[in-house]
This record gives sequence, C-alpha cells and structure tokens, in this order.
Amino acid sequence: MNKLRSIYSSAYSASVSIAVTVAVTIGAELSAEFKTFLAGFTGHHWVTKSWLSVIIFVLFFGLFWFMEKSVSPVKTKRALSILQVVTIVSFFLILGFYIYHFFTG
Amino acid sequence: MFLNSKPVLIGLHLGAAIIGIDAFLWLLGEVIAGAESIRRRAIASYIGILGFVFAWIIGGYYYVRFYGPLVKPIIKAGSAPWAHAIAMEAKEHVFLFALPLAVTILLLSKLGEGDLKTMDLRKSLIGLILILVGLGFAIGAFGFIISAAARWGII
Repeated sequence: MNKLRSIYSSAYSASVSIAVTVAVTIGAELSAEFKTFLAGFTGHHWVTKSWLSVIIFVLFFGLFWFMEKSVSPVKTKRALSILQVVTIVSFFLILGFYIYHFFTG
Repeated sequence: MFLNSKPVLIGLHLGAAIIGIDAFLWLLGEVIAGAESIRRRAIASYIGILGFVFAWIIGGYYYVRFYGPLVKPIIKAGSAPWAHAIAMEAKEHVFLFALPLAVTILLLSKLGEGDLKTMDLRKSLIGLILILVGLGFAIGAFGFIISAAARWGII
C-alpha cells in the first residue's frame, strides 16, 4: 500500500532530519569554524540549517521509499513511535544545551 | 514596502504560525471525533503546512535582516540576555522540526478513519498532532519572552 509506504518513509526521514538538525546545531555552537563553514553556503548559518533540514528530509524520504518495498502497519507504527521519541528528545536536547551553554559559556 | 516594516513582518510571522497551529488543532478535533471526511482532514493539514511555511519564510527574513543586527544587541545588553541565548536559539532551531512533522501528519491524515483503526495508527496520529501543536505553543512562548526582553529589558 503506497500510502503506508509514504507515511513510513516520511516518519523515518523526519526523524533523520530532526536528529541532523540537532547534531549540526550543537556542533556549530561548539565549533566556531563549523558555524562559519555553514554560514559560507548561504550567508547565514541558520539559513543553511533550514535548507539542510529540508534537503535531508527529501533525500531520506526517497531513500526509505526505495529501500522498503513492502511496509506493514506494524512497521509504520514503529516508525511513527520513533519519530515521536526523536522529536521530544530533540526538543529537550536543544533547550537543555542552550541553557547549559548560557550558564557555562 | 511591507518587507521593510518590522512590526508588519512580526505580525505576519505570528499570524501565519497561529493559523498553522489552529489548523492542526482543527485536524486533532476531526481525528478525535472520528469524522469520516478525508478531504476535510487534508484541507486542515494543507492549511497548517502553508501556515508554517509562510511563518518560516517571513520569520526567517525578519530574523536574518533585522533581528540579528538590530534586536539581538539590545537583548544581549539588557537585563535578560538569556532571552536571546536560550529562548531565541531554541526557538529558531526547534522551528525546523515543524515541517517534517507536518508533512508526516498530512500523509497520515489521508488514511480513512477505518484504516486508522484497523491499522492501529489512530493514536500515533493523535500523538504526533499533539507534539506538533505543543512545539507550536512552546515556540510561541519563546517568541513572547524574546519580545518582552527586547521591549522591557533595558528599562
């Protein structure tokens, strides 16, 4: 069922996009060179991260779509549960990191 | 031109984000009520996605063009520099979670009510919408903190 395949691909690619956003964001705060490198693409590090989040989402959507020919409801539900966990953990990671960074930086 | 009017840009950014959140709350109501109309759910999801995309573009333009050079230095020199260091930094990055989540919700909302139940995906859809709306509220709260710090942080 193509609808399930789309949902499955979207859930996993969204998880990857969010995880990469968190990794790149924290990495850029810990390394000034990396932040400058990111800014070099678009003129601003946040704009580069914005494009990166979209590009990663689209690329991985295609990857998961072609990798998984047959998707069951159980697999889809697992992908959606992972997306929920990744999103909640990522929110607190970002917030926690900036709180930590402010008080220790 | 409105692109140079800072209050208008903030208003459009906020308005679009509120439309996005409200559209997904509408979708939440449709799903919880067990409404059968896939078309109505898809419309709610598309409006929500458009709202978030518009908020992203307008907010991003304001952030790069005006916030960085004009507002950020005021907040950092004021009585609540943490408003930028914590609230703004978290806001601008957490916002990037919204679109992938919203697209996944749109695809899920295109399943019929019967399919959602037989495939046991109804709770997953409700959970994802709640998370997206929760992120929207958190981002809104961060925005309030940033605006308050910019307006009152130097008094």
